[in-house]
Amino acid sequence: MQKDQNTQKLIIPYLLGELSPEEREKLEDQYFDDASLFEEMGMVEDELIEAQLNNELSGPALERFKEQFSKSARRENLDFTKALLSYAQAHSQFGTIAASPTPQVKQSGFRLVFKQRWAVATALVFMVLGGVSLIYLIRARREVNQLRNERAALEQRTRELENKSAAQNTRIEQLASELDRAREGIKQSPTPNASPELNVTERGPSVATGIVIARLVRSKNNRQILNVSPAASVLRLHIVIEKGNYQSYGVIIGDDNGEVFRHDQARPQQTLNAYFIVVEIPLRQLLPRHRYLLKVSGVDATGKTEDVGQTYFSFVKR
Amino acid sequence: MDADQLRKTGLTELAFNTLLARFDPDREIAAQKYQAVRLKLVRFFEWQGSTEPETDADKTFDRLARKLYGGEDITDIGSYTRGVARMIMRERIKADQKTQQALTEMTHHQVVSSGENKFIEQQSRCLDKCLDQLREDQRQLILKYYSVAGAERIQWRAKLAAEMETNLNTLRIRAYKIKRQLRACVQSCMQKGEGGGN
Repeated sequence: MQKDQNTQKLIIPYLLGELSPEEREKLEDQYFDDASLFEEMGMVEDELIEAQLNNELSGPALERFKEQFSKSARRENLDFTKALLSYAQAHSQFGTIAASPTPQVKQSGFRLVFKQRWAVATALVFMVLGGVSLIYLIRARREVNQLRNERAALEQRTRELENKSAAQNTRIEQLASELDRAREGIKQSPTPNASPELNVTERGPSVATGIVIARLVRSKNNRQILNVSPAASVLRLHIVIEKGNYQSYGVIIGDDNGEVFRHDQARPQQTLNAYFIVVEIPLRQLLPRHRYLLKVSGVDATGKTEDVGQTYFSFVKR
Repeated sequence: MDADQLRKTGLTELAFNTLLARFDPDREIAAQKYQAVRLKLVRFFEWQGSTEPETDADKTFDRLARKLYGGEDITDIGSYTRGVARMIMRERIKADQKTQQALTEMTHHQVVSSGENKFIEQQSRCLDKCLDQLREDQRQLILKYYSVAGAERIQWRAKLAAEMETNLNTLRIRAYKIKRQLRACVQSCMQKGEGGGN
């Protein structure tokens, strides 16, 4: 039992890349030989992903998660889980599930040990994540009380994060610089014909791609100017946003005369350190050199919307 | 493993047969054991941060098969396999420069931006298709399991388990197995370019 408890304590640190090489090798030797342990690790990874998608990770755990799941193979699992959750939540309102016939499970000694191992694992997961609700205890009342306490802590953290929006703006600007440097590298690629102008890369004869940053803090002086090829008929706009935790996003572009463009149900995407959404705007709907206000709102599972950022922008044809 | 898969791994048929025989004298049982070990290797490489876990898993089997076919006397095949896998992972880490990888990630987003909406739509269609291929009770279970977000999901799943006359852990395991099956189906669908829409 002690050995099982020690092993369970290592699963999440392993998945977040925090174990020493010796501890890592020892756990790998174990899960290669133990099918139930291997399965448990897969389930814990899924639950870790769910915790992140439900904004239950913070601090070092969140940073480690982002680092580990920025890698393409693991990001595939993250993307798939996100898609499955979106689908399931969009198709909710099922009726009661009829009890499906399940195989009879003998309550052998092995199963009892497995259940005990699992109960210890969930308590240890809770300690390691510092309050993250990944508990599957048999007694539902204890779970609900613990979840209430955790929810209060999350709300407090949310208020703290909202007060740090200025620091986040600076980080986003740094990211924009990184994007510019990355774009310099793309210029070497044979496929895109990169424009030397800021923020825009041509993707073909009729589509221009641009990047803008939608900030929570309003600033009329902050206008982003995009240079677009005269031949372009569509502007594919990558909009960097500060909050990527909504199911979908709405984008409205307007000027003093009203709304000129709207796009609902934009899905968030992610690079190493930022979230962004993509919209395609027919350029015939916009005037060159005209100042437009772009607003982004997030839509949660209940349909409630919240402003997540805005920016002024205009474009010139060159 | 069919001829196409064999060709992709680079293994000769003889070397592959030698490898299989080490898993079990019965070829069918050997194939099942091979797939089980391959899945563990793929996860191992994923969890180590490999950008190509499937390729690295196949490379591991490739080196193992060549050693066996070459007559190497390997007493503990499991330990030897893990050693080869770790060596391959070290090689991959050396080959990947961190900044180069970051640039590749950004370039990936830029260069494929013309297809990213199509990618999301294709994934959605593949998910639709793969959900339809599940048994109805499996489909209902997985959709209901993930239908509630946030802190409420724990209570919701406890309720589901009670309705199904089972316990939370059993429900958790069932959902995991269905999700794993679904994920493999969607991956296969995406690779085949299916779900491309009208």
